[in-house]
Amino acid sequence: MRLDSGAFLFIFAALFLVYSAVPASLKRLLLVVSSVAFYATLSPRFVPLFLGLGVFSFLVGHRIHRETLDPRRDRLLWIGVGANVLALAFFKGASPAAGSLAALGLRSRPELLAVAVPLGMSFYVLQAISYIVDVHRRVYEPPRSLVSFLASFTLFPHLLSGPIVRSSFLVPLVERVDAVSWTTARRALFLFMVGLVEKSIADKLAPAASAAFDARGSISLVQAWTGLLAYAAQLYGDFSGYTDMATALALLLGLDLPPNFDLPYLATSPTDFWRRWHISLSTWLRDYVYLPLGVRFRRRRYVNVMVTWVVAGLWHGASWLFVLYGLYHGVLLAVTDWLSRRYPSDEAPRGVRRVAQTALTFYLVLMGYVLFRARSVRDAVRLFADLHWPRAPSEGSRDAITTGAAALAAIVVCHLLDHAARRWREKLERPWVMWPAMVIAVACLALFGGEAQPFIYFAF
Amino acid sequence: MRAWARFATALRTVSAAALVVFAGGALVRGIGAAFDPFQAYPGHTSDYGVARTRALRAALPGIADHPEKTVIVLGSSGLARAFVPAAFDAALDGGGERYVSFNMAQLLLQPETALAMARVIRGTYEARHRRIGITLFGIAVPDLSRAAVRAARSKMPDQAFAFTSAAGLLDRAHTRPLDAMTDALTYFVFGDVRPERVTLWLEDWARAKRGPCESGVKQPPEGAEAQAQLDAFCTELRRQFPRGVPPYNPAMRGGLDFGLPATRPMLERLVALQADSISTPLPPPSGRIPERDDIDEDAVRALIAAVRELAAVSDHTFVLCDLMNPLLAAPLPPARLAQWRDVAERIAREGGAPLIDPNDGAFGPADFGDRTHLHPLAAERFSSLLAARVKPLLESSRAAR
Repeated sequence: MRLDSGAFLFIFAALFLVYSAVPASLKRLLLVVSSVAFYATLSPRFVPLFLGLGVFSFLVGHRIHRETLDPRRDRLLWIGVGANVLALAFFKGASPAAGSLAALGLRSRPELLAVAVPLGMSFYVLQAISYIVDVHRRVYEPPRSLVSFLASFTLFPHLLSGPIVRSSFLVPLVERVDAVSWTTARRALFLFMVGLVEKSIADKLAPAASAAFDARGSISLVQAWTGLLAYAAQLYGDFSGYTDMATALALLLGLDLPPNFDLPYLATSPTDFWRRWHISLSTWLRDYVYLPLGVRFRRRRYVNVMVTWVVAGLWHGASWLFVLYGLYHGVLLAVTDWLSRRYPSDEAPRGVRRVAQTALTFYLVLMGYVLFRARSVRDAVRLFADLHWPRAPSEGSRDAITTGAAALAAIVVCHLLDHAARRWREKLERPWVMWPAMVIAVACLALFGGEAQPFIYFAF
Repeated sequence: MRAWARFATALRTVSAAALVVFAGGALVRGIGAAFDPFQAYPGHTSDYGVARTRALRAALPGIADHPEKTVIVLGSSGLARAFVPAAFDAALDGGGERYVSFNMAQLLLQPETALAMARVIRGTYEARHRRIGITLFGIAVPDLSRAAVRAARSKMPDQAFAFTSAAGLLDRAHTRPLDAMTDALTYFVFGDVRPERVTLWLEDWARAKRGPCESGVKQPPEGAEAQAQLDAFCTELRRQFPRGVPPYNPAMRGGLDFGLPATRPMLERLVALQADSISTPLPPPSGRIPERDDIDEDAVRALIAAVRELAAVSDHTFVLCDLMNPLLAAPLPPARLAQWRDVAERIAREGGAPLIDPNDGAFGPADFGDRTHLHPLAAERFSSLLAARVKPLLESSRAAR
């Protein structure tokens, strides 16, 4: 069941009414039950794994908290984190491993490894790890109630594609959850509509992106750039749209999730980009991979950056393309860091310099998308060549230019929507602006929404 | 916050969201209504097949209220083009009771649409405590292969939606509850036409797109004279129907309107000019033809259920095989033809209706306007011959009673 489907919204409306009427203690239980039911509609066979990892992590966290001896605490930490990492590695790596075994001619029992990745696993495993590590670091006291923990761990709006919210942030919110005010509810409705519009824009651009990335042979320079821009808009619209919808639903449940995007394509450097894009993942990587590595290997600053971003790449999937994607961003961040140390400046770039830096960063991000979206390394190399070595314009180039312009416009619109939803909220939430705008948006979505595409980050 | 206050806020939120959705839906309905009835030109091309489906549904209450005994004809494009109600009724007349027939056959009819239509037809007649005189349920077994069913669904994904009913949704809810719920909500908010279809209307309106003028005879015509006849035909059709041919013309009782009798001279000339080229044997299909077709079992079951639904409110029900172009049938392996025959017999047997097979050599390749459809003039003869086949069956049925 998709967050943007009519059936989901209808069921959510019913749940929301019941949820608002019941006392706080029942709210938490209702959250767990509805989250598990939601997950079961999508991936019923992985419900035991999902719940099992949640309960296991909760118990390990408690044991760590009660344990006073550091070696034992460390051992429990490794067990807890290890089990989560192993589960993730198995499900993410099994299928590629089965493929590799088959390619090597080792077909003894490949069906044992050919398993699907459980939906949302990449997200809830990171949540579990952050919980165990935070308890081990003594920066967070685990909740007494399993229901409170599971309510935050399984919370359905952000379960499948984030944002990755740590237990230390979410459990306290869950424990003092209350019904929302009309102002908050109105804000949530508006944010949900923004998410729907963004997702719809992304869906519209999906065919243009696929045309470039799934092309069998070489394509013209214009078509290549159009496809890449379309993918940049699609990825942002899809992911940011999902996040807005998830945030809006959580808001209606009385839980204010942190933002996951902050106008990412206006970033002035790769470092700035990762402060604005998938913020919950980049901060997670900083706190649970990069900083621990820094403590252990203090002198290997750039190696640590590389390792962190290779982990980030592998988190997306066990493929060479994602390793290269991680390495690529690792190199970008290392170079940016080296440059900022070599030429320190306290002032934020302005004017032409800002425009140039933004354009360069956007270009570098787009090149990363080639690795991120391509079907194979060979396809990525081919597309990279198509993007930089002009060929004779093909028949479709004029249409491609129009689509490219539409993709650029879509990027601008998505940024404007996000900006408006956060910074012009008070003006836009005036009744005579908000309600007519939403009615028109519903009609436009129904008429021009395009064929619904699966959420991209569901695949991770 | 007190429980009631909390619930009141939630109720207000849900009501506001619902109002926004319904207001948006009303806007879409309004835009759709501006095109309604959307008269696709010339009304019998598959692009706007859903226009006919909707028009049939709108016409159904009037058909059920008809004072005389009715003949309902359901089926795919073969029957939609071949059945001329006036010709059928005239040929059937004189057997004691008088019948008035209605062509409710539908281009690219999908099994689920047939079932949805059958349910709605049954409900409409039962609500009036009336019965259908004769039901002729056409089946085109080649259209029941998995590939054909898939292609039809992809061409017109919203066809069955136009015949959405509570019974159909409940039935679907047993197997696919979430899809049924989504359909129910869409129907509730936007009505019997999906917004995507309204989008197509808007796009065509913006582009001032005009559908191709189809004569029902081989197109494009070969030769200058044939082209001139087609132009004359189209001019006459446009004169008669400036807004496009209605998808359901009450004057024709659902028969596809080719502007007869004013267009008869052009059509006769077109048939005469094109007869040779139509009779030319079709090129042999590339590759080996499989012995048997991959028939979709769910589609067969849906058709059996549809026949049963209609039989429940009909005095007489017949399952009618689609007329096949002999040129298409000739190269097929006998095993496949036998398989198709078996499927047709099974639908008739399990549906509880006798089978009528008009493929008795009365129609040759020259009677077909294209590979699979009779041309408008041959359609009149087909309808008369069909009535002649039905008449003795009715008499024997009456005698048996």
